[in-house]
Amino acid sequence: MKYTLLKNLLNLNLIPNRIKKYLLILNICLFMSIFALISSSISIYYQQLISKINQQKIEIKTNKNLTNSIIFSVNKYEDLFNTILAAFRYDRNFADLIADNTVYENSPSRSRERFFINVKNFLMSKDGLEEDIDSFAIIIKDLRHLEENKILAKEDLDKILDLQISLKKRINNIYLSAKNDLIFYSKDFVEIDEDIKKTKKVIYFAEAKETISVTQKEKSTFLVRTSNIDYNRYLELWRATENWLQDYQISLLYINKILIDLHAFLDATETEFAKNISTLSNQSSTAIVFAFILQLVVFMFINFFEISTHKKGTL
Amino acid sequence: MKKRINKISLVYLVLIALFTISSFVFDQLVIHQEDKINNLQSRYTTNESNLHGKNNVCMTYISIANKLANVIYSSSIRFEIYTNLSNISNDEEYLSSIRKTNKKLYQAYYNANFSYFLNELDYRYIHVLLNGELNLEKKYQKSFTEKFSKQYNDIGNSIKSLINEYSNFQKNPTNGNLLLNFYNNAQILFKDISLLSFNFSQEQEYACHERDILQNNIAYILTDLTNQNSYKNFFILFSVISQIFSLLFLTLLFKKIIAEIKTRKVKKLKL
Repeated sequence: MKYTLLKNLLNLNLIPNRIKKYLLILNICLFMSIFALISSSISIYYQQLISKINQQKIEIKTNKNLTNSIIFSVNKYEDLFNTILAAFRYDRNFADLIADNTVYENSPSRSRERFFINVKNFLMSKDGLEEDIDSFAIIIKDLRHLEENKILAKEDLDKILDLQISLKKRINNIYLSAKNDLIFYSKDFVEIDEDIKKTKKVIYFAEAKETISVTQKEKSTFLVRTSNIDYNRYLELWRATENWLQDYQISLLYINKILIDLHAFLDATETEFAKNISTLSNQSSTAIVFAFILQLVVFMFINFFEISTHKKGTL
Repeated sequence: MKKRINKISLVYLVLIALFTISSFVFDQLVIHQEDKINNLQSRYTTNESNLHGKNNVCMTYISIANKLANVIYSSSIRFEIYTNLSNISNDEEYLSSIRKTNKKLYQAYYNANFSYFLNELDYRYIHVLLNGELNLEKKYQKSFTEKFSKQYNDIGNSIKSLINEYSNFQKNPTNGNLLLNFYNNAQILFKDISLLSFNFSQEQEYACHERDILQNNIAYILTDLTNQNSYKNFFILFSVISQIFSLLFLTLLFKKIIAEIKTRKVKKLKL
């Protein structure tokens, strides 16, 4: 590589008298390059910080989507429980109305239809309910960090946890009390938990342990039920079940409240992150302007001394 | 006169070459990142539309299972009450008293209620399933029909035959055998509907699991997308920096050349 070749390549036609001017132009170019270098470095530094915040924002967004879907499910479930509770009460009143219209005061329908069938039908969904209680308990445990962030009072969270534990015990007690009077039909249910398939027996239907036969009496035929079930006991079980349903509904409302608080917290965090990103962008612009001014001052000093040295040199 | 290039100028030249190449490399990396981002975005869109469908299937199956359970819950209790008051009891004396005192009144009352009840059960059952099927997207309707149409039709036919059986019982309300048959068939029907509800719960477990997998994939893609975007930004910035460095060294090289010319002029004047 030759010097002349480079000179020809660059096609420089330098006039010695104008060297000062060339130096000034080159110094300005140097100044601009160094400024661009500094501003790019500042941008890279701030971009790094913004990237970190963006990653946290994605996590928040994922959590928000998850919370939204849980809120949706809890709301649906609460709606369903509302319907079940309404039907439970309606059927009791309905049975009551018919029973009260009967002439015979020892009518078996008074004890049987009012309470037994309601409890029997309710216990058909016992397995599903237990599973839901477990899932909600897991959600609550996951929400401990909300309490740490002082969004939820510790007492409230403990109260909900205690409620879930006691609810599970209570439904088991109702089930055990009615177990001997009922025939439960169950089937294998395949549950998928983190890609692992688990099989368990799940109750899908319940029948009373009764036999129904046809009897003939005074020119009429009757269907007669025979069983050893103490139907009067079901008044107490019915009350326990209704209380259970009410408490469970309240626990769902509590969980919904926590989830709504969590959603608000995530919203606030997301807004804060957006603000942080905007602040960092502003800081980056300010830093670049500040660097430019500082560099300009230094450049003017250096340029002044360099040109004056050059003048002295030529003199 | 021929003169070899000095060491500093050579270093500047090498640096200029290096930074120009690195700028080119970073530019290529930006293009590569852009391809990756486009790929991720298309995966994100596909997964998101699939997620919508799977979520729809999951929620619809949950809804059908719950509604069917509710149909059983409220229907079986009414059925028990109607049947018991019309003819079943564990107290014959009580039934005799009803038959003797209010036979015609009760017969007319419960007949009307029974017919209404069975038609309502038929309507509610069809409504739940139809509502579920219409709620699904077209591509999932096929699997819905394949999986449940047999059970669905069998139950529908059982309800229809139960209505026919009841009309027989209505004509001959004192026939205990007809009522017993009717009662047993209704119990089997409730059991079948419960089983269908159970099957929907089972299918819902699979659909919801698939939805969860898609949700996790989307979260993963979103994180990856953010990472790739930030990498792209860094590559753009590094490419700009490389260009600036090459410009800087080019300027320094110019300065060096001017200084050389100036030194040569001074040497010439001295000579």
